[in-house]
Amino acid sequence: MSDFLQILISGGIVGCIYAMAALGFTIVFNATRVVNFANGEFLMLGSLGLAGAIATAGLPLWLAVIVTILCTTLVGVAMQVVLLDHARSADELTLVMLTIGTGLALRGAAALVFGREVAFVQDFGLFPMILIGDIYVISQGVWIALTLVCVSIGLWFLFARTTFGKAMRAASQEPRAAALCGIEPRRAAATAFALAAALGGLAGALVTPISAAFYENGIFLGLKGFAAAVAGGLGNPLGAVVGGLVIGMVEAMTAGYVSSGYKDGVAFIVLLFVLLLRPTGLFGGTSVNRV
Amino acid sequence: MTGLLRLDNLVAGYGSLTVLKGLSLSVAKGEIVGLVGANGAGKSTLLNAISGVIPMRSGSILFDGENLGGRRAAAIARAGLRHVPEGRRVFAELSVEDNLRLGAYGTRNDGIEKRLPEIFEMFPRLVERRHQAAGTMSGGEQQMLAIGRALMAKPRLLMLDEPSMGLAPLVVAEIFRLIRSLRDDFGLGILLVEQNARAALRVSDRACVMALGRFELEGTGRELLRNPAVTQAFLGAVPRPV
Ligand SMILES: Nc1ncnc2c1ncn2[C@@H]1O[C@H](COP(=O)(O)OP(=O)(O)OP(=O)(O)O)[C@@H](O)[C@H]1O
Ligand SMILES: [Mg+2]
Repeated sequence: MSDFLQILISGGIVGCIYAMAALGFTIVFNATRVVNFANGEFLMLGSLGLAGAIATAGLPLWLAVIVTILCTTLVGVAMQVVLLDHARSADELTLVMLTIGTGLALRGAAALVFGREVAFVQDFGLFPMILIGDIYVISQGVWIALTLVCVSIGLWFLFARTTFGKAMRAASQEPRAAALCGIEPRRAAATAFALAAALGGLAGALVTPISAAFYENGIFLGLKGFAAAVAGGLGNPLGAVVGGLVIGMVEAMTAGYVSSGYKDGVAFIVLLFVLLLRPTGLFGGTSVNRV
Repeated sequence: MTGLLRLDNLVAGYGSLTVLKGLSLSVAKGEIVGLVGANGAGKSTLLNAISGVIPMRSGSILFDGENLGGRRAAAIARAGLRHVPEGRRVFAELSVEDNLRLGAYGTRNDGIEKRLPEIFEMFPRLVERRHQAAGTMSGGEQQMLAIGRALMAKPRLLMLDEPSMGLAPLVVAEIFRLIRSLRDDFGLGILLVEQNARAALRVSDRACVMALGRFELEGTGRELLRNPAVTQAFLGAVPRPV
């Protein structure tokens, strides 16, 4: 029993990272109706950026995290403003292809800038490891879980309570009508990319002490975040969080009870099952549109 | 009368398709200009070109003396020219109140707090639904909301694209009463596109009949109502005394 709980908790911690990746997909999809397949690379950049800022630039941890998040945010905004915005009249498939291409380019650039070696970063510290009976939560896990809670509350507040967040939702539901209200749809899109990239940078930085930094890590982080977002119901933030947690936990159980060799495929098996049972995802399909 | 809105030889379209083939028109403060015409004549395209939803190719659009050519839709909306698009286009997942507040997006908060009760007074039916998701309301209520949203920012010129579309006769009458009152009590300039030609021509000070991207006939609303060509094409009946 305690084995089971331990595996659940470890999986949940990784799931928090998937949840943050999934939230990135969700935010961008809600603002632009584009699935951004470069989203995983934001996490990769956060991870490698943090390792680089500490090892090469010698920054203290807290400053390295801030600098990393700022740089990742810039990359995300540039991606929207320089690339996607100019193709905004193209169809959605073209835009998705552009995001895949951007992902490849970011991976290549990261290999050039940071090298192809695996880099390590120590725990963020501050929190002690938590022990309840013989079940433990590592200190970095506390960081990760608390961050997900804060991020979720922050995003909920932004989109449910602030005028700016509501304007972003309006621009995604009815882009033309929003523009006719004085809302700049392109500013909303750039903001969404900024948020997703900042969140990716943060998640990537947080996961580095437990999984190390590597320029190819964005592929799996991105695909699992995508699976989590779709399983939760694409566009639904709560679904993204639950989807991420579920995938992290099922993955850990597969590794613990079956074989760690199957671990990386589990996300897609979960996705398949969810879509078979509920084609709109766990929390999808409650649209209030009326014709 | 000074023109609040002046179009001169406006040309616009989509891609390689030219829809508007050189239109000139003016709308003054406190004046309703009606625009009728068959499906596909280019009425919505004209409103889209004026409000900046699509770019114009040539000609000029002057609003209050300022050239709107090349300006973005959001900037034009903030300048006080509001377009209520065809099909209402309310923000379905947001509440009625949020829809209204977003109508004044970019203006000062205390202005919004003062304006909101005025709009609710104009549309009493929206008050009890202020926390309801806009997409769950009836078509008539959504049309009221779409107009209320446009009025939140105190525009000087309002462009309405088929506000009576798909609504029951009683609601249509209510909407036309409102349009009159916006002109008479608030002095708005209004450019009104309608399929319901008879009702539109009745409230219009001046009107144009549009066909294939051109104005075929122009005149006062009364003149056009009595014009046999208009009667046959749009009103489906012999001329009646107005
Ligand atoms: N987004 C678009 N892309 C390409 N062509 C368009 C587009 N919108 C309209 N058109 C074309 O422009 C012409 C004018 O259309 P428009 O919608 O302005 O007509 P309308 O007078 O408003 O008609 P209705 O009474 O049916 O609303 C039509 O031939 C239409 O096919
Ligand atoms: Mg039309």
